[in-house]
Amino acid sequence: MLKKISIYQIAYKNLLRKKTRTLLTILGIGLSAWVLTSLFGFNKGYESALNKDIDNMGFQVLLTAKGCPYEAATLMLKGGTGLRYMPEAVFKDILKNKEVEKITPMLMQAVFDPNKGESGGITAYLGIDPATYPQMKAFLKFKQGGWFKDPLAHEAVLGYEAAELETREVGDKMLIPEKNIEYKVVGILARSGTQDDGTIFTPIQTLQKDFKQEGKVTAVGIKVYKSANTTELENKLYELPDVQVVSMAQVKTTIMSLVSTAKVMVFSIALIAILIAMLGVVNTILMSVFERFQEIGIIKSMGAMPWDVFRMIWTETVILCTLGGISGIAFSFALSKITDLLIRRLLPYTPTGSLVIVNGSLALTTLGIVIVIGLLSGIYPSWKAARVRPLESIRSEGD
Amino acid sequence: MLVAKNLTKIYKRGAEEILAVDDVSLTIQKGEFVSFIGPSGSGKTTLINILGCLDNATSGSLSIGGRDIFSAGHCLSESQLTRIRRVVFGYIFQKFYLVPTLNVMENVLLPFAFFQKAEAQADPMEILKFLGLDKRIKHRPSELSGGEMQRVAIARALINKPEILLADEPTGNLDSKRSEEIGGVLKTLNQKEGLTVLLVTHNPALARIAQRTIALKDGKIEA
Amino acid sequence: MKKSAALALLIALSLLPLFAAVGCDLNDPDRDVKRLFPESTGYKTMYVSVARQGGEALLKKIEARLGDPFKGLYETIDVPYTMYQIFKGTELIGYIHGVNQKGLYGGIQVFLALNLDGTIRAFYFQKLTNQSAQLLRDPAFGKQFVGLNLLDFDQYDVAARAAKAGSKIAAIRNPAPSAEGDFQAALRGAKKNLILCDVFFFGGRNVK
Repeated sequence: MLKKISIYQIAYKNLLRKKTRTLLTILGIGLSAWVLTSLFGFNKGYESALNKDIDNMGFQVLLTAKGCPYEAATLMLKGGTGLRYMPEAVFKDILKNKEVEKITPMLMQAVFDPNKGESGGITAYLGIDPATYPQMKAFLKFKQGGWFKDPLAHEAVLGYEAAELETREVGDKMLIPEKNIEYKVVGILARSGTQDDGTIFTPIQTLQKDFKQEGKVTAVGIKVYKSANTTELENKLYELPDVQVVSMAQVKTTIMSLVSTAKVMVFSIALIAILIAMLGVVNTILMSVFERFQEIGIIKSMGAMPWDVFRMIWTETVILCTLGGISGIAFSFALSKITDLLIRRLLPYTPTGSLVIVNGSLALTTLGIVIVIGLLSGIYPSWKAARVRPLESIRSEGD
Repeated sequence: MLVAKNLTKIYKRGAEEILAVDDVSLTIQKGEFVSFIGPSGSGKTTLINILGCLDNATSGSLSIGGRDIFSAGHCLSESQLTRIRRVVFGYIFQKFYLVPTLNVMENVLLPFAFFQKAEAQADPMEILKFLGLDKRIKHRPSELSGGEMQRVAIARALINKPEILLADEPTGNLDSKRSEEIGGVLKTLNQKEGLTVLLVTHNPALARIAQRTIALKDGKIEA
Repeated sequence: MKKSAALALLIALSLLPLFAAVGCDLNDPDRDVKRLFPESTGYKTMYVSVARQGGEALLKKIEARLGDPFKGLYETIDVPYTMYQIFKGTELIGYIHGVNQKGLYGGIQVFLALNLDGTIRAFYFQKLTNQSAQLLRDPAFGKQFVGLNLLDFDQYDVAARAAKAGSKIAAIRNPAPSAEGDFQAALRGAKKNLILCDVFFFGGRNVK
């Protein structure tokens, strides 16, 4: 037997008065909450995916030939190599430093493959030293076969997706377009979720010979002792002529700073979206208060203090925002894959791996923010309702 | 128990000043049933609003049960008026003012959400039975007749055991049969429960059920 | 300078696009349809898969007809096949369909343009990596397939990589003996293509 009725019950039943209006308001908040959660998730996901990509490079410092990097990248993208090279003699200079644990040379070469995609594309090959590179990337697992042993063999190891694309298996042959040179596939890597998945690895000496780049490398990966001071090493390496030092930590900082500019912009948009949704809440509750003026007046006449009325209306706002927040968070969990896809389309560089990570603590944070903003936006309508005088609202009785 | 002395109410309508209640003094004993009649504009509603602590007087004094409510034109704040109202008064109006999203039982219990007197009835079923509403407790206002709705409003007004029941045109929206029913209820409440009832009406037949009738004209009590 | 180097290198290193190309679409449908059916005014694209059309049972029928099991990324049960229906006005005039096939040096894409009765109207390689690719891509090679249909390809044993003596398939010449593997792949690809067209366009009238 119902003995008492709570302000909470009165509040949520009030919201059921105009179901469509309530639903639309909740939807508006839900959409903002979805955007906010996805943004937080992206914030988390991008950085961790980037870290993973960088960690998976296996070395802390990369040395490349000096030259205009943008030009190099553009030439690579449009065709031909266009990369600058370093002589192998640079190895001696690098190894002189006590911080260096080991080094591994790399040579990147590219050809135009008319068969690739709709109107042809670049196929890139990475020449590596089988004696040193696999050790630095010990975490690379094989789906089939293994690394080539002979540094002069015409053999190749394919990343998972590179192999799938050309239906290659261990034992199959591969042809380098333009050069028409055959390589034998000896290994196919397991999916790693990094750019290695699309890479074709060959012995560096073989690649140097076939592409007539003997004695030249495009990069040297440097593994630094754990206890060593990487910054000091980098400064020393800068002294070497015609080389550029790329620190993986710097790469990460560069990309993160680029991304953070984009993030600031997107966060601003998300904030505007939330403010608009909140205005919707204020509007809905205010309209509902105006519609119930007389009723509120009567409630005052039966003993409700201004604070009671304030609490009642405020509770309606909180209910709307909580429901909106929860539905928005549910959207973001359900649609995180689609959000990932959308972001990948929009950003120029995206690391492999999940870009959007939505978890429990993130969900709670977003819900908290939505509820707080809801509480703030409920203040004005609640105050307006609290100020209602019974007499004003029933004055229409006449006389 | 209710003593009003020299009550005056002036309110502004644009540039005009309206003297709604003009120097009214009266005394209402505990357990009395008093009706106020008069034509439109006579000030009966304004007077009852002041007596019922829904409004302040411009000047004059009011005391209820020996407690000074206001005097020498001293205005009470809305919160102060609320505190008095919830202890002393129960109200019913022409428009019922039930909450459409709550059922009968929830509407009746509504005052308890904000304030419950120590001596208030914990079980509202007695009141509901008395008013013939015990079989309708799960119904919403939209499913009730006008007479039933007013009875729900009465039950709600009584739940906190008020000292005085203030009824402002309670039958204004009802036909003559239902009006008679409501009149009967008010009379029973007064006679059986000893409830002080102040009734405002322009229906002379309804006014006659009261023990005493005060007629008002132009803000003054007619002799 | 440090920062831009880092960025450029990462762009350079991540050149290889990571895409899982599972289906087989025309590179430029508007251009290719017009080339294969000059009299056409439009086309409709359908996406079908063995999984949705008949599941495991259908896959078994197709493999039996092909005489070789399906294997690899391009021959899974849920591969989406892009089927093009070619129109002149509102009249259906033919079909185009392409399949992926494992070749000597990489994936091969074999496209067939079919008449309404299921006979081959045109054959060409959309993708082929081979030193003798230009010989196989020569229109003269593709012309040898014109007029052939699925029943003709029954004379070709995919598993044995041999055509029945005296059959129309046996008459198809390989212009590049050093690319024998890709020639056989083309035949398997063509037979597979015809079987799939039979299933998806002609209601499996020849695949029982």
